[in-house]
Amino acid sequence: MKFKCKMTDTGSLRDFSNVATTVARMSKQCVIRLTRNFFFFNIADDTTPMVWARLDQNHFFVDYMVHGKTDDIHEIYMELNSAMLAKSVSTFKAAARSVKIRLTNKQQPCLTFEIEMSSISAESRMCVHDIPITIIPQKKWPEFNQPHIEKFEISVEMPQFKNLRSVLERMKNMSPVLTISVDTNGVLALKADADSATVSVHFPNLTVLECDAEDETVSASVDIKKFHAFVAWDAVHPTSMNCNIISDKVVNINLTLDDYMQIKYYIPAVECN
Amino acid sequence: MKCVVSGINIKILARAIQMLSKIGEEMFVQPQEDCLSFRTVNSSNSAFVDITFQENYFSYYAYEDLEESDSLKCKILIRSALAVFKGNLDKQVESCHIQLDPNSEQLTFVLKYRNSIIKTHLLPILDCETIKANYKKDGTANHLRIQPRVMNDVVQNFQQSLLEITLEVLQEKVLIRNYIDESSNVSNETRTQCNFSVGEFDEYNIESDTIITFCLKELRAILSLADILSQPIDIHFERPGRPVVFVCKSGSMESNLVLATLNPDTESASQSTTSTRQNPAPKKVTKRAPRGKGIKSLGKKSYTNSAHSRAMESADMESPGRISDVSDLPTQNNRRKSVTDVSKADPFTPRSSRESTSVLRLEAAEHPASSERTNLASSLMKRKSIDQDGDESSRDMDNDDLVQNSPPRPKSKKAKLIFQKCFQKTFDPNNLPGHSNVEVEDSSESSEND
Repeated sequence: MKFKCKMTDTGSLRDFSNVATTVARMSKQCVIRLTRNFFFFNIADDTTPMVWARLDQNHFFVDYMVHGKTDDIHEIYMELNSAMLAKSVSTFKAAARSVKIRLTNKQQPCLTFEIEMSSISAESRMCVHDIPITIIPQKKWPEFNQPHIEKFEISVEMPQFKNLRSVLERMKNMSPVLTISVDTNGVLALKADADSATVSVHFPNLTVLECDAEDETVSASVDIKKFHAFVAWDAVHPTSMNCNIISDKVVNINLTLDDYMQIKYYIPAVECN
Repeated sequence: MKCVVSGINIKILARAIQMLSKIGEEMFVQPQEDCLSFRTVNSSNSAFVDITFQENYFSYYAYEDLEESDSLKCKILIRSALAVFKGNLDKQVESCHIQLDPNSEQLTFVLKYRNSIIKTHLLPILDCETIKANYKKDGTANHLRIQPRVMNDVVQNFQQSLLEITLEVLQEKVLIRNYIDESSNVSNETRTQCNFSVGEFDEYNIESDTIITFCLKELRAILSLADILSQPIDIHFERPGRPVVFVCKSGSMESNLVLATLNPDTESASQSTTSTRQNPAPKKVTKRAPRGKGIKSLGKKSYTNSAHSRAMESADMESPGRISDVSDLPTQNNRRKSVTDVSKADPFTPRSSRESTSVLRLEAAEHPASSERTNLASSLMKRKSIDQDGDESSRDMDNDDLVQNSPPRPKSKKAKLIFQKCFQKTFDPNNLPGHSNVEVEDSSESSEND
């Protein structure tokens, strides 16, 4: 098993650090999946995976190389503590000049970050972080596959994060469940039911990207905390966001940052009464 | 003692007290003829700070009463001093007066605001004692000087929760890494190592390659102070097991931080001799402690607990000499020695500790043998820590309990509460309605036989 890569671009370093920080905010543990073309972060909620963040290796890294356990396997799955990762990469933004990431075996498998930092003297400063990891055996890989969804009933562009956040932060305290409904005219409504009031917030004039629904509105109820957790991804400054719903089954939110980063978030619907 | 601090110096004083608060809980205020010192020591005696303000730092400084100079020293809670400088002061506060009268019960801080508000803080004095540490900072084998910003950049790479770091100085470069003892589980920790070149130091004098390990928390505290003063930090150290001294000097003030370093000779031995304590303080200064006795690492709490139980189980396997390793307090460290020795032997013994803990100490003079135990017991109680390994010490612990005479256990209240009424003197079962009704007849032998 072998993995190595290098990052030199400041933009990539910043984005990578943002992703790692957001991952740490959402979950204690995360799974990194390395393939020949992509670098995935996978966050599981309890046991079910929820978030797939896909980074295009061509954009982020140079000298990228992955060798699996055998010659015909070109993937590696590993699990690690996301807070450790976030702390180690937090210096990427400020001081790092270049970073080498390698899979190493120092007493135990580690993901090693060799960070070259700018310094006041001519010679550069080096900082090496060894983050302990657990390699995930191949038989468990299918657990981390993305859900396969043929077609969503409706797909709509999402309102801006800052509007979403302020609304969600208030609604979070009212009810544990949030009902998301989208109608074919491009209105996204978030509804929270409390004992004494029902609050719904409408975001009109959104572009409907795709619609395959029989009814005029498609709605699904989800755990409001899970939906709110997603707002943390604002940190990566996505360029486009869309929301896909299958009525009473699943809400899927996709974020993309240009063409090199893609984040998919699946929130299963809960029973609503 | 009376003094006035004004202008920007108030902010420096506030920061200095903040820095002290990160290390210890009590602050020793020691006015001298031409300077005022604030000192503190952490609960495990592994870190000591002395911040001294020269006369020219103050806009007015009067030491006064030379005859009574001995009474001019006090110990206060840092928390109370912190409250004085709470909030954003620097803009509105014009001056700060500090007054300490002989035999007073309070240390007075008067803050004068621009809008003619005057706030007077009376900080209760806990004790009239001072503390002195015995350390050497000039002419040590190794001396580095570095800008706090550079050091901060390096330290920032480490996890926030990290307790100890290892500094390795080589002729051409410096390595800083997190300290991992053999017992800690490597899978729970990021291992981090930073190298930086000699060029980043303002001064770099190394006699020989040295590796020392010390606490990070205290280092962070002095770094943040040095950062505000924008003064370089001098690091003086000799070899592992000997204290490392961080000095940050600006024109009118000097702060010294003395930190214990891990002694590699006793490191492995001491790992089983940990104690449970609230504040996981890692080490013990062993300035004059006999050779081979020294510091221990109490790094992680979880480890501490398990090791503690292990130490209990294997009590008789421990060598008796080990006890001093687990010492928590000066007296323990040298408990086999005579009492007088004790205060001399430990660098951090409060000078007047014999006066302050007078009851116990007086006893000590009469019964030297038991006194140390008494002292130990009281100190242990204070800190809520139980240290033990070695059969001898566990035996001591039993005795300690006796000496301490713990209060009797309160009786269980529950028994009293149930049927409480029945036990009252005024209770008469005949008064109860229906007391004469018989619900079930007594069973007789004959009926049973039927």
